[in-house]
Amino acid sequence: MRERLSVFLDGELGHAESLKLIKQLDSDLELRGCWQRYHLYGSALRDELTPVLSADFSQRVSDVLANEPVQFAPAKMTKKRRIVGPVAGFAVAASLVGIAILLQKPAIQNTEDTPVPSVAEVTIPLSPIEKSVETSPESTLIVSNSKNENIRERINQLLVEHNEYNPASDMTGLMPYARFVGYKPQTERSE
Amino acid sequence: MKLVLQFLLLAGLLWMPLSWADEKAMDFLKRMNYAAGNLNYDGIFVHIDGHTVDTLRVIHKAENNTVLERLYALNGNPREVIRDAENVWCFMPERKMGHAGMRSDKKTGFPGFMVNNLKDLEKNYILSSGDEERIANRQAASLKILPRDAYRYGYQLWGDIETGLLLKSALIDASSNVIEQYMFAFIDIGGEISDTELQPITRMDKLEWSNDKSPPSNTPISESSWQFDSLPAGYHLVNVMRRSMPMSNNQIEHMVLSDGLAGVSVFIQQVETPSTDVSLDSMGAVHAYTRIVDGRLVTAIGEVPAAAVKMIGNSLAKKH
Repeated sequence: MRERLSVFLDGELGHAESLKLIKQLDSDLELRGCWQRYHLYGSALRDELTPVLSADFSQRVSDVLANEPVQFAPAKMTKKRRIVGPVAGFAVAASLVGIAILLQKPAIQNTEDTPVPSVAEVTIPLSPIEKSVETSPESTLIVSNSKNENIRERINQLLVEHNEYNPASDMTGLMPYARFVGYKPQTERSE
Repeated sequence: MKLVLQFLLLAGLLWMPLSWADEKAMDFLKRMNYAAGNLNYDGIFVHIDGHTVDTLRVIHKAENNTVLERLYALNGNPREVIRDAENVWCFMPERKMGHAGMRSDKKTGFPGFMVNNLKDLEKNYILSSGDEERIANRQAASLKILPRDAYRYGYQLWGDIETGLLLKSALIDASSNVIEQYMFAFIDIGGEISDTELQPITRMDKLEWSNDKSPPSNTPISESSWQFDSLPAGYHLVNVMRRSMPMSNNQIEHMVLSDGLAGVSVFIQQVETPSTDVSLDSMGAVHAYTRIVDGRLVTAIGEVPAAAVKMIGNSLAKKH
């Protein structure tokens, strides 16, 4: 079975065999452990290990995605995103049915209780497609991410309620759930 | 005259491929929408948000117009979500907690929004077909849904040519920066899925559960005491609900706006001591704008650019 897993990870296992293997991941804890370890080895050999990404299959797939045509490579993290990353991680993980936030304190523990915002400037880009059609009346907005824990917690709760009504979620059917299931605590996420 | 005819012929040739491409994109979008709700599939996909990557398994069974689905994480905490038409169970074994939620009545939310509102979609987005690509060992056709202005995000979607099922998606902003991506690494489409495969790994009795008591109740839009004076192009009010928030006895009003693809919720809450703070918060692709209107705390939130939530939030007013 381990050999077959190795072949699968190399992308050389047949479709039927691959399906059988992933179904077995459900019940075979040892096999799931192998899944993680094999990727760890592979990533280590390729010197890909970073504190940011978990050592698994996803690293390799992300490398493939990163080499996609330029416009579809993952966007670089802007200053804004680095600042709000912890908040985003928590909020997004809690989406749709993610009631974690409703039952306990947020993953991000702020030492500051003052409502003084951290300010990041966000440029609202003009559409490259039809600049003449319509553009934002404000090309620049100030996103003042609240440091007040209560405000963020309330927004997170509302995001959970909102997600059920996001039409784009219907389109793929995966997004809100994937955010919840793929949730990692703040300590495991990158800055 | 000859020159005019030549010009018209040339213009016609230039126009035709574009029109054909739009038509093709629209047809493919319909196929993708249908496939998502009507096919069985079982696969592994990655979710990339910024620079974090997750690997997930999804088992999706379509039976008698109902979708049964199980989703779980292959790395990190072994979280799971299982859902059917009315309920959704959320497993958080690392916290020893679970939540059984009641899904709201979709008939009053976005009934087949992609199929019924495709014409509206074209007013706010530009649809076009792209190249074919091989994804998860299958041939996929790509489709771009690009925003016509800076009040909404766009998508690039890759659908399986044989079945129409979505194999990869990318959320993009108006400058074509990718904000978030999903992609199948392996998928089996159309196979039999047994009931046991839809059962959770985590034992339910090992978790402490919280349950929804009732789904949100819908209110006729005309009965709402709130209105929007001016909205970003293409957005309109589609639903008004009254709902209670977990751990709270207060009812809140929940207004939903959409342009056919993007959705923005506006929540109106009675608060004991309304703060005068106005805030604009960002959580990845999600933005939230908060202000006080007539003593109520108003929050506009959605997976849309900051300009959209701000304009929507500012346009809310009490009916006279």
